[in-house]
Amino acid sequence: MQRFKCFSIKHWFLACTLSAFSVSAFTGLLTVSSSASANSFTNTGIVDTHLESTAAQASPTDNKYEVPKRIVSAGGSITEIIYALGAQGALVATDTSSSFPHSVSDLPKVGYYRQLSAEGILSFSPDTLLMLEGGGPDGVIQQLSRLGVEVIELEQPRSIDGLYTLIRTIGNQLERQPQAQALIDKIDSEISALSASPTNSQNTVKSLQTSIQPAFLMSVNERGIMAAGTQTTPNLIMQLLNIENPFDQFKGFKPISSEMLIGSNIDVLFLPSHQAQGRTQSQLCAMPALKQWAAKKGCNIQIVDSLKFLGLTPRIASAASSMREALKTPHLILGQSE
Amino acid sequence: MQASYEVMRSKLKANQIGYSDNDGSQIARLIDARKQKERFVLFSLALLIPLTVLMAFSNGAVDIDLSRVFSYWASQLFDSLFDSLFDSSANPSSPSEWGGYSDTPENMTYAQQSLIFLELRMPRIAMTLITGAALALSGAVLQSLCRNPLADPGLIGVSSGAALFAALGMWGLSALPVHFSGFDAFLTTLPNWIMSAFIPILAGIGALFTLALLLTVASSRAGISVLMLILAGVAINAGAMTLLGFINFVADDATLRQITFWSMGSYAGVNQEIVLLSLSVVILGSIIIFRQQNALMLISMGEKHASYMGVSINRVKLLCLLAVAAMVAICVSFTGIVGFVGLVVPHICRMLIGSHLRVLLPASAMLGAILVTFADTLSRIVLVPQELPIGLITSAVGVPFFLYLILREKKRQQYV
Repeated sequence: MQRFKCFSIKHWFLACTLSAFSVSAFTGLLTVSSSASANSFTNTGIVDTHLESTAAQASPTDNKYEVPKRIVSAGGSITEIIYALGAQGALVATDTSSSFPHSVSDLPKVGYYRQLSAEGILSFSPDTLLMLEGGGPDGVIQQLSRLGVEVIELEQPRSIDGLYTLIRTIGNQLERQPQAQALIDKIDSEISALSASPTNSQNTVKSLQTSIQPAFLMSVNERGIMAAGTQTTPNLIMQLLNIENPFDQFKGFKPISSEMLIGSNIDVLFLPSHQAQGRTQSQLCAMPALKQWAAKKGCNIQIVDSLKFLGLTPRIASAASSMREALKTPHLILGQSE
Repeated sequence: MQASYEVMRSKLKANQIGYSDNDGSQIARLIDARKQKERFVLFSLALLIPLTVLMAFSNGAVDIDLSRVFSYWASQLFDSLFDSLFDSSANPSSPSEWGGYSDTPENMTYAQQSLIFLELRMPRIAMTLITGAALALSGAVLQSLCRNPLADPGLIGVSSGAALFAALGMWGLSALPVHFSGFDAFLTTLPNWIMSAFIPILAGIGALFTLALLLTVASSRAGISVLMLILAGVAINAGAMTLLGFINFVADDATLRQITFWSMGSYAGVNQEIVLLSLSVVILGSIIIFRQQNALMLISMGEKHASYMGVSINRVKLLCLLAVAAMVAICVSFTGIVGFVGLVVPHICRMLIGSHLRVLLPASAMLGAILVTFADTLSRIVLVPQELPIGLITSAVGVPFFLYLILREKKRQQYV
């Protein structure tokens, strides 16, 4: 059977070898030209920027410690702790989930901590990558450690003790153990101040419990609402205040039906600011998912800072106290609490 | 049976086949013109590939000076050659003679740059070329096999089966340690490479399982019916999506986000072993497909006609399905689901070069490789140092060009 003679393997082979040859000839010419002309090699490359930037960081940070390391942090809580320990001079880049304190926006971002970019991180020539567990993808982490970056995976804190462990680990990494201990003591005292506050005696807490019931919603949109169950940071905040989470039947953040919301005795809803998306309380209460609840209980929605309430950060005590403040005067719509 | 262009043209000119004098030479001229157009498109595509590769090599988050890196390689090569030829004590290569290739900080710099290039950038670009070609080729083959212009590699359900099994694996890794206390200890006893290869291996198993299911449903004693194939693929897609949704519901947030990012498709984390594996599978698949080209063209005339002409339809369909499934499985297991390439690239090539499979298949493969490499380069340089998901960029790059071609076709057909 005669075959169509438009293009045979021979032609393809010729085309491929021709293109490969032209590419290699081109680069060979480049090589020859660069080596023939006896130029002094301009000092480009990684070592140079390393030297430049360490010179810039030789000026001490506010605690007069000089941290010679270059660190990339992947995880909002980690970045916040680094700033709290005063070691932000060592930070060269963060991930997109790091949003506090506001000066973090001056630093470049290397992507979300679950989808990091290998070359992006390497372009800052870091010594260490401090990463929350679950950072990835796996292949990128392996590539980074193969190319000489020390990758330290830190466990996601799930309790106050976990937070203290995280602070201590980061303090050891940055050789800031005294500051780490000071931070731990500060958080500890803030938390005990929550329960020892004169306005928050046992009686008041109990009456708070019986009269005002808060709940934390993860999101409110046309599809419905997602609520925070157990093993979440909002649940932990409510535990600190000795308040029962009305959604403790499930773990994590799960969608719930509006009927459940109406049938329960929830008085105040807390919503993270990134989910409010610029809508006011009245606009949120007009949504079909919340309309009937708002009609029954009044439009008591508190919009709170996302990272403070969703991540286990050193500001957890402040989050708990702002929730407590909101609960004291629930029928007064306070707006953005902080 | 199938006459070559030249034979037919000469016979037309010599009036041996039944057209009048004018018509004969006109048809011969048309054949010549078509052959020239094909040649032009194919050679320009072949030229575009090294250009795209060069552009991809020289761009990225890390500032790599390619010429210096190549000089460094040349110097390493020469050093090793000299060491083998001469006594090391009598080695005349002093640093200044070679223009500075000594072990100074500059060279360490280029060593590191070369390491980044070899370990990160080159495998990644090789992977984009390979998977782009594989996906486009699979799309073209499926479109001619199913005689359906909307067929794409996801039609047969292999990619969603792979995604489902990968999601199962991710959920299992997160949920099982909670329920079985010894699971973590068991995991540490496994060799290192298994943990990193676990999800791709599971995805490959999922693809195989899906293919077996597909063949079971679609084949009967009379052979593989194409209609049953399409319907079975749709059913498998729907089933896999349902199970995936269920896993999304019961998984905790961390796993949920991991699954989402995995399905979005990304070329990060590709190393040389992955490239070698993918290259071997894709080359094998392409060889199988290219050997079935003529039979596929006959099948597209109609299955009965093809079988009367001596094509063993079932064997061709089975071989093509296996090759396509293997290539798609490899692509999806390592990089997630990259949409748009398998569906639209064959159509673009059809509008440029015609439907003749012997030119359409190579052209689709080349254009697919170019598109995915270009899209990956853009995803790496648009928002430095972050990386955009590749599926978005392939659509963003391909859709305007595709729309332009559609409008051009429309204008041509208005004069009919």
